[in-house]
Amino acid sequence: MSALQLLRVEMIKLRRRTAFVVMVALFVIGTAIVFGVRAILARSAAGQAMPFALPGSAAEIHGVLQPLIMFFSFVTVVNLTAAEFPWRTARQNVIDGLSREQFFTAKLLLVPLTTFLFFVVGYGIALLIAATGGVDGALVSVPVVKAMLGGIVTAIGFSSLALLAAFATRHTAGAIAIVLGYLMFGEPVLGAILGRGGEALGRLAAYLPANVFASISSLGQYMPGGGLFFPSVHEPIATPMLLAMASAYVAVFCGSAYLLVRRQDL
Amino acid sequence: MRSAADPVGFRGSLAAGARFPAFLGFLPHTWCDVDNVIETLNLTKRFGRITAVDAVSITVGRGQVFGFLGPNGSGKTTTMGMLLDIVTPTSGEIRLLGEYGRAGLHRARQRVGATLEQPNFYPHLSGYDNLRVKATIQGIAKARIDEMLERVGLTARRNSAFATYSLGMKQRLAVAAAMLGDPEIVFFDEPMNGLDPEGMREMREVIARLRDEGRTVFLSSHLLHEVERSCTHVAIIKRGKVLAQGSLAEILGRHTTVALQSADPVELRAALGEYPPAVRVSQEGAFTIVELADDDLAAMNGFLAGRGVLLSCLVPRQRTLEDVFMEVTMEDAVEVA
Repeated sequence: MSALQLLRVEMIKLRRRTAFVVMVALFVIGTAIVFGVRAILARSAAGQAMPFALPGSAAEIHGVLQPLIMFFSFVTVVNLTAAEFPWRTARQNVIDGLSREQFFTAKLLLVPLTTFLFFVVGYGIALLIAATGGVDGALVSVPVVKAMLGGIVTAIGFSSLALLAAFATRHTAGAIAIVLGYLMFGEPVLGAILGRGGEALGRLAAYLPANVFASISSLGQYMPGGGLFFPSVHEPIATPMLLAMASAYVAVFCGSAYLLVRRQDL
Repeated sequence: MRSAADPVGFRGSLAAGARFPAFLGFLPHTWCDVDNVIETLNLTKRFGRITAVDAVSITVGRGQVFGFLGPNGSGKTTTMGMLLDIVTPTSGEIRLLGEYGRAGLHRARQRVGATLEQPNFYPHLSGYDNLRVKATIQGIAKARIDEMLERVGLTARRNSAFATYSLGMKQRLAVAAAMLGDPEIVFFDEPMNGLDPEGMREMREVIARLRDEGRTVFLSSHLLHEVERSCTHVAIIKRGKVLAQGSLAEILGRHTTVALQSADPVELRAALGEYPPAVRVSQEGAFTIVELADDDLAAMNGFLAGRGVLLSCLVPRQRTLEDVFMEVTMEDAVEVA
C-alpha cells in the first residue's frame, strides 16, 4: 500500500472530525485576530512608531507564529493518533488489512503534514495582513526565511515527541500533558541539574531536545554573530550541528514510537 | 498425522507433501492441507505471570462454522486477537489460509473479515464513510459499499453518524464491514451479545447464509444454545486451554446418556459400577442415569440381565452442548483440584 493510499485513509477519517475542525478554526481565527489587531494598531495615530509592513515585520511574525505552529501541530498529531485506541479503530484498521507498519506510517505522515498545514495557513494569513501595510522589496529577509524553515524542523520535532507520547499513553490528554510537562518542567529541571555539574555538563544542556529545537528556529541563530546563548555556553552551536541533533531526536522519537507499535498489543 | 506434541499435524503435513524445503518459504506453500483454513500449534499468550492462552492447537476446515466456546475470560478473544495480529503471541505457530510467517499472515488477512469484541468504528463518521475506510485499505470498489449496506438494511441510514446507530444497527454495520472484501473466513466475537431476539435471529440467518455460500465462519460465544444451533464444529476452551474439539456430532456423541429404571435401583447402580463402558452413574428421582463410552445399549442390557437386573425402562437421552460443556469443564475442574 502506497503512502498516497495511506493518506487517503487518513483523509477519510478526518471527515466530520470536530476536534480537528476546531483546532484548525481556532488557529485561523486566532492568527487573523492577533495580526489583524496588530495591523489596525499600526495604522492608528499611536501606532505610527511601530509600523506593520514587510519585510520589516517578518521577524515579529515569526516570533509570534513559531510557538503557535508548534503547539497546534503537536496537539493535532496527538489527537489524530491517540483517539484510535479508545475507539479500538487502531486494532480494526489492522484487522481490516493494514499491517502494523502501515498503520504507524499513516500516523507518521501526519507529522509533516499537520506542520505544513499550520505553517502555510499561519504564515499565509500573517504575511497577507502585513502586506496590506506595505511591501518594500522582498517579502521576507533571508535570515527570517531560515528561521521559518528552522521553525518547521521544531514543529516536526515536537510533533514526533507527541507521536511517541500518543502511542505510549494511548490517551489524548495524557500525551499532551507529557509533552507540555517535559517542555515546561522536565527540560528546565534537567538543564538546571546539568548546569550545577560544572562547565562540561552545563554545555550539554544546550543539546537537550527543547533547547536544540528552540535554537534552530531562533532568528538570532541566522543573524551575523547571533545564536541562542545559554548561561554555560559561551558560543552558539553551529546550524549544521543543530540540524544533525534535531534530526537525531526526530529519528529517536519516531523509532521508539515504531517499536511500541510493533511490540504492543493493539 | 497428529500426535500429542503435534496435534494439528503441522510437521506431518510438511513431511508428507512438501514440495519445497522450508528455507524456500517465499515460494507458494502448496504443501499445506488446503482444506484447513485456520491452524494453530501450541499457541500461547502470557500477560506477565498470567497465561491467558495455554498451548492452544486448533484446526478449522474450509466451510465449517466453528464455535469457540468458553466462559468469559477463558481466552477466546485473545486467541482470536492472535489470529488477527492485534495480539502478539508469546509462542506457538499460526497458519491462516495456508500462509504463515509475518508477511504470509498479512497476505492471508486480506482474505479475512472480522469484528472483535464489539463493532469498532469511528463514531463521527457515517456508516458509509466507515466502510470507505476499509474499502480504501483493501482497494475495494465503492459500489460494493452500497451493495453491502443494502444487504444489511442500512441504506436509509448510510449517511448518519455511527454514534447515532442502535446496537443492532452497529452489529449489522460490523457484518457489512466483515463481508465487504468478500472474505473466505469471517470472524465474529460474541456476535449475539446485547442483541434482542429479532437481532439474534437475523445474526443466525447471516451465519447460515455465510455457511451456504461456502465461507468459513469462526465465532466465539458463551451462549451454548446459539452455538449448537449455528455451528458445525466446536472447541471448548477454559482457563486458556482447549478441553475438547471436533464436529458437533462428535462432541455431542462422545458419551451416550441413558435413563434406566428397575425394581431395585441400588442393585442397578451396583451392576452398572461393574460395567466397563459406564463412565458415570447418577440418580435423578426414580431414574438411574448412566453415561456410556459407547452406544451399544443391547450389550449393556445383556450385561445387566446377566447380573440379574431386569430393566423396566430404558430411554436414550438427547445430550445438549450444555451437557457436554458442563461435563468437560467439570472434568477439568476435578483435574485441577
